[in-house]
Amino acid sequence: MVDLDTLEHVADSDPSTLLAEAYDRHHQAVFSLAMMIVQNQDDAEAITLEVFSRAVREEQNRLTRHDSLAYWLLRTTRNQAIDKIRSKQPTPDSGSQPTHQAVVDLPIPAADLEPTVMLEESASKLRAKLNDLPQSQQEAIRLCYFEGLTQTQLAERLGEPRSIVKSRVRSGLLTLLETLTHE
Amino acid sequence: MSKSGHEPFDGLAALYAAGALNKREQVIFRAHLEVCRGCVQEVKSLLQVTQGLLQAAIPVVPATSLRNRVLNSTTRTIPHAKAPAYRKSKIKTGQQTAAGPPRQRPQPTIWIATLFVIVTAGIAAWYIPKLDHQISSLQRQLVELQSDLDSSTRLTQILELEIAAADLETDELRAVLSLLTTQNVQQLALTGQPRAPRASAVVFWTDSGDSTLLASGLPPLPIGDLYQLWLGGLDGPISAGLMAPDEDGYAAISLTVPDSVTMPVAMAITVEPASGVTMPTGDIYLLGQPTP
Repeated sequence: MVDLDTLEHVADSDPSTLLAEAYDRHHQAVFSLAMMIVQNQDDAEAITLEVFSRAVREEQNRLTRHDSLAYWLLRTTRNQAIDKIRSKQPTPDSGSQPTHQAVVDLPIPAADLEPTVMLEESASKLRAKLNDLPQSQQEAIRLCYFEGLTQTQLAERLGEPRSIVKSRVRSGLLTLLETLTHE
Repeated sequence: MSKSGHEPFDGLAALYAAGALNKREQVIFRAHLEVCRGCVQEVKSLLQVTQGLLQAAIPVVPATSLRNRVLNSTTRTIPHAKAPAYRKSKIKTGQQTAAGPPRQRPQPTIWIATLFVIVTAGIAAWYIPKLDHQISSLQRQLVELQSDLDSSTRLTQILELEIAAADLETDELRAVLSLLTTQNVQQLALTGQPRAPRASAVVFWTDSGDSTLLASGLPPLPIGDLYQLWLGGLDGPISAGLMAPDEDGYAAISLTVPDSVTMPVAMAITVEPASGVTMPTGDIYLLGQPTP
């Protein structure tokens, strides 16, 4: 929600200023997510640059709406990072799949579920809980969420039936949900 | 999540929230969300987790030079910043007030100048608080307008999502969406048999004859064969259509239902030659019957 201060701020600011503030507020989250997925500083920097460029080109109206902007930046970072790692894979994992497929975007929350910026303490708990999940659940969640595999690709990669991988993703996410709801 | 007809969608809420459904699966699942409150609730809950996961990376500080690179690079792409129009106008007015009288008027006498200063001060003392009040009121209105704008933006996002989903649909999927929003739709489940233990299907049955089948987990077909759907009637099985699954084992077809069949006593899917047969000859891959 925009308050009076923000409105005055918008009136006083040009897009360059808003971008600078958005960068200062969100760059670490964007860069950290990119690093986690691509595991390479140069690539993570290139992704950060591209994500903020896109924000200015396509999403200027979000620049003052911090929660909404944060989710958009992180969602775009995920997609860009997955794109980056896929573009570096010289051979397809399965014979019938093309080398470089478009990343399936994450669902956009409905109006009554406006994304919120998580406090570092909560993010840290979630991170710890993710690392505590059984290895099989952790792997399934990481592969689909941070490498962009679909359920079919996930089943192929893990050599398990789809029903099993589906169940692992669901169980893992439900455990993580408990962490969030019991705060 | 185990009610009749729901099996094809069991567990998909988690995969949907995690972005692990392909575009076709997303379209089908979104259609299902239109009619399944349980899945909507699960998606809503799990989206909190998946949104959180995006923020759960170990914090890493980038090089300080990245800030300049981002700002320099993006500054080239944004329109030249302009001061808001009202500010220009304000500044101009100020200049006129400060510099105008000496330039525009003939040289005033001292008493006229004194009188002018006194009158101006009096007007300012009366007018400035009133102006402050008006500014506060305008700011409140701006906040309300911005709030309305936020709602409109969210609505726009939802509409954009709908349009994107619609772009991905095949004619068959459009038919499914349409079907799901019509009244008197009954879902009939088919379960995988030993030849296809992971397969499942659901038939959206309508009295108007626009019935549709969605199947998943279908094994790849031998070359030259297709899956054939059968409706079990009192006079024996009647073919309701042929179909081939995609590479992920999904298939969706509109059923060919003779007027004489109001509700089949059973349904089955067999593998048959691609030209189709009048009576089933192959093994049964899926089987189901309406719930009494």
